[in-house]
Amino acid sequence: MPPLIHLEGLTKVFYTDEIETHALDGVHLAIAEGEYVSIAGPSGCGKSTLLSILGLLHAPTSGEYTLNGTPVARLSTLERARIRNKEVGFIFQSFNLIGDLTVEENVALPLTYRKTPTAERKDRVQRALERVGMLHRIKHYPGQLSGGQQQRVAVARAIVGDPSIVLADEPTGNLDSRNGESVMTLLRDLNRAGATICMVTHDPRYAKNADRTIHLFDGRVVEEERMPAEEHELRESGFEVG
Amino acid sequence: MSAIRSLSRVPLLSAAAALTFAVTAAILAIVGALVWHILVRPLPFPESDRLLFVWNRYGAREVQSSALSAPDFNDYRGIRAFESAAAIQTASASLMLGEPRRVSVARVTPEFLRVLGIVPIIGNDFAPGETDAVLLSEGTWRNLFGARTDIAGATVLVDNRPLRVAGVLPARLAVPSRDTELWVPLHFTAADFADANRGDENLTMIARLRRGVPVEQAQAQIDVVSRSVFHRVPDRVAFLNESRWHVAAFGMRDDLVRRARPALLILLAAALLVTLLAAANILGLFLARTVARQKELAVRTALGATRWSIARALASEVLVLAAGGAGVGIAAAWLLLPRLALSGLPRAEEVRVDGGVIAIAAAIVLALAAGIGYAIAFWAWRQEQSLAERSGTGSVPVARMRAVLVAAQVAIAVTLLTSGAMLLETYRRLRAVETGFDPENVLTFAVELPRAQYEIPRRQAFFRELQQRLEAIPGVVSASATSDLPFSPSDWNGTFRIDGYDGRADTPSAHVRTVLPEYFTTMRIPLLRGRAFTMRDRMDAPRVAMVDQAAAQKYWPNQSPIGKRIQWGQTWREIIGVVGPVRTSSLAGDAEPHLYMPLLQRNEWMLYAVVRTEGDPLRLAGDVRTVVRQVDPSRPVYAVRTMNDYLGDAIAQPRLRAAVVAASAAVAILLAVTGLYALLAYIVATRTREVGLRMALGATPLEMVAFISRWAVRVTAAGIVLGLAGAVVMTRSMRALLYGIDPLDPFTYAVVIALFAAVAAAAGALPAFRAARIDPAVALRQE
Repeated sequence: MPPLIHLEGLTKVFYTDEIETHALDGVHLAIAEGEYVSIAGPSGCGKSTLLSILGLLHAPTSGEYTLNGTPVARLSTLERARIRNKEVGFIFQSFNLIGDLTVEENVALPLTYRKTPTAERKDRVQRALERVGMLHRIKHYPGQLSGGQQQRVAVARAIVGDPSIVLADEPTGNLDSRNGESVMTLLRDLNRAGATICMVTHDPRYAKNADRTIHLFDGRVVEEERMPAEEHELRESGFEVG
Repeated sequence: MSAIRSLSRVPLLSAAAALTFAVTAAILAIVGALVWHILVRPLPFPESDRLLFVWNRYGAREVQSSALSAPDFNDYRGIRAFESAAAIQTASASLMLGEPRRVSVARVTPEFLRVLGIVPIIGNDFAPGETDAVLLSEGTWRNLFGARTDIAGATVLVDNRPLRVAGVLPARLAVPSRDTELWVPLHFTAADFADANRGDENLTMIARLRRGVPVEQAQAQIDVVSRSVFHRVPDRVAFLNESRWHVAAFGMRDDLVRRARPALLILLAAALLVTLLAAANILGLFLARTVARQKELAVRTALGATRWSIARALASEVLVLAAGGAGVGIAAAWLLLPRLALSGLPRAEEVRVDGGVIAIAAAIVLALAAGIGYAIAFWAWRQEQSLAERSGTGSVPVARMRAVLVAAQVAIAVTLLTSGAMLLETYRRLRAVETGFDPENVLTFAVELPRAQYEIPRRQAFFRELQQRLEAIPGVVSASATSDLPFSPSDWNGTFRIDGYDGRADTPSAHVRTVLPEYFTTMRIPLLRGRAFTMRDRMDAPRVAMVDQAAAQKYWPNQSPIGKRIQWGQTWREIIGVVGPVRTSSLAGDAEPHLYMPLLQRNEWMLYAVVRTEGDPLRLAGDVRTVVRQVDPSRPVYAVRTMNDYLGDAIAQPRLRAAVVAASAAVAILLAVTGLYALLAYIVATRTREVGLRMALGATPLEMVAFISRWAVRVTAAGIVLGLAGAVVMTRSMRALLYGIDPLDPFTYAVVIALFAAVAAAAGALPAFRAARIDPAVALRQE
């Protein structure tokens, strides 16, 4: 079975004022469907660039990127937007909820751009909020929620469109440890339910939640760390692994 | 100082706000000067609120104010409510100063200066009973007599009559007009007051009310006297009743400015709307700035700044800009006002940017600035209070408030644009009105012959010779003369009798013109029936007259007036021809009846020559002066103008109104568009992360253009709806100023809506496309 995400010799160069910055330098990576991958590395190693390319926010300078069987490295802005809306869900460090939209409207945004019929949209939003335990706050505004609750709403927004992959960029960065743990548990549960997750984090405690951790350094994959089989089995059985 | 330092960090915003304040101050100063000096300020006479004009009025004839006859003046001057009264008769004369010079003269009864409360700045009033004396205007004394201090007692030659200079009157005395150069005594005899002279209405009556007597009381006494007139002139009763004649007293200032009042009030309304618009614009700019400073304000609060001290700091920034802008704007108004063409306005010579005007304009601008400053401070405080209740995208309430402000700006601009468009269309339609004659390439000038030296045969010989010599000038197509030019200040409206007229309609009346042969050819007024006057229509020939189509249709419906007889004065005349209708006093409304008589059968001493030329008529101005000098070197030529100049005067007020409102609309549109642009740019700038997020969630660049454009559409639509409602109110209130266009003209409204939609689209395009180019990955990293 082909991987959900396949990167082949991916590079990304930024040009600013006669300076070339090689953010990614020949990245090879495959992520299987249902996998939970974390990307780790020091600041400036290219984690965010890799995530933005995986999320089709940026196009690579060279190399190949296949998402769900479709080559997406050289698509137009419009085509990238369309595939992004269908295949990718985002979770951000700072939640990025829109202040003047209700929880329901925030979660519905990806479906709005997909032009999903209203009835179906409402149904899917309710189910997504139910999954993250925030249905009771559906009519609230983000400003009326705690940080942990806001991030749960952001998770609901990421999964409401049933994307192929959820990309999480430091999802616990703005949360205290209790709320951080709670969000990590939520992601784990989503993964157990079948979601493919790729998470950027520099917190080793949370990186261990993933099936596999990819270490980046200077734009290259320098190490891959897989969770031992017995730990994986224990976790699949519902035990927390420290 | 801290305010200036703070503003220097945002030079663009500071410059935009200061410029807006400057434009507002300039508009307020100019409009304030016009309204204050023309409409509000008392006339420059002691207790001027006691001064009145007394006019004959003919309600059925749309004649606002008609002069009085000598017997009329005699009836009303003794009214108890009047402390004093005087009569004025305007004329022109030849003042001999080396060479003849035509001057504007007012013949005034002895009470004239006492009524106005004026004393000469040099010399004295006329001596009792004096006839051969003259008072000079200050301008004439300075310009023609070199401001000689020994002028009193000197002798000047007026119409070849030596007159003693009694004194010099101050420049502020613009009665009967600011052009008056000489005042000479007017004495009546008992014969002048005979009832037979009641039709000879050529006097302006002024009066001073007794102290404490209201004008209504004077009017009641006038009404009593008016009723008694009916018994004394039984032969005029029918005419007076039909024409709804009455005599009315008006406050002198109100009467002087009556015609200009609507234009000035529209101007004032437009200026106030532009001021409101500017205030909304500046408020929007400073709201955005305050959002950007929220962190700084929070730090200041944390360090112990009170709410009041922060409010004062915010207000002082706006006040600094307002003070600078007001200074520049008022200085610009001071420089600009003397260069504006105000000649069509009454009291124009009094209009200036003086201390009072400066104080009013500065006070309004500074009060506005203080209001804006404290409104922003109050908003910042409210924002701080409610911040906790909202999420991090705190720009939304500001954007909404700015949107409301921009909608208000669009509304004001739409109101002004609609009104301006209708006034412009009125002006355009008035210009397109068929006058009935061809005004292109026609030179006109006036010549007056002194009655004493020119007996009737000599006068007629003079005008005949003048016509022949004018026609001989190379470049002249034809030449003639008339007693009154179309659209000239003088108009002769008289009543006449029609032989066999059944009297069911009202008393026949018409604009009366005495003309030389070739007048109709020269003016290109078509001859429709019969024949035109010729040189054979002299005193020794049967008396004849011509009428125009308007008179023919009104008084001889369904029949030809040719061969019919009319009685003008004591003389019966046969109608020999019908010419096309012409407009002579107003471009609006229907053409009014005209009655023409041949000069060679009339007793005229003053005529306007009309000269049709091959090219630019003013090129021949020197030649016509030479010709007049050849006929009589002592006769000055005056009022040398083209026929188009007179037409221009006829549409001067509509042009002024249209120009003023259109200019205000242009400023309003500019402010509204910049307001809309600034709002959208602000939204894009403050919602970059949201735009990035939406794009990350799958929104296409086009959807982001639509997202930003929605703001523009909503704001513009709300503004247009409000503005159209305002326009309906404003255009209906100025219905009397419109011609040929309905206040609810759907085409104008449609054009305004389309124009604003286009302007809004243009203003919104740049920020919207900027939003579409936002890099979502970069935007999402922004804090």
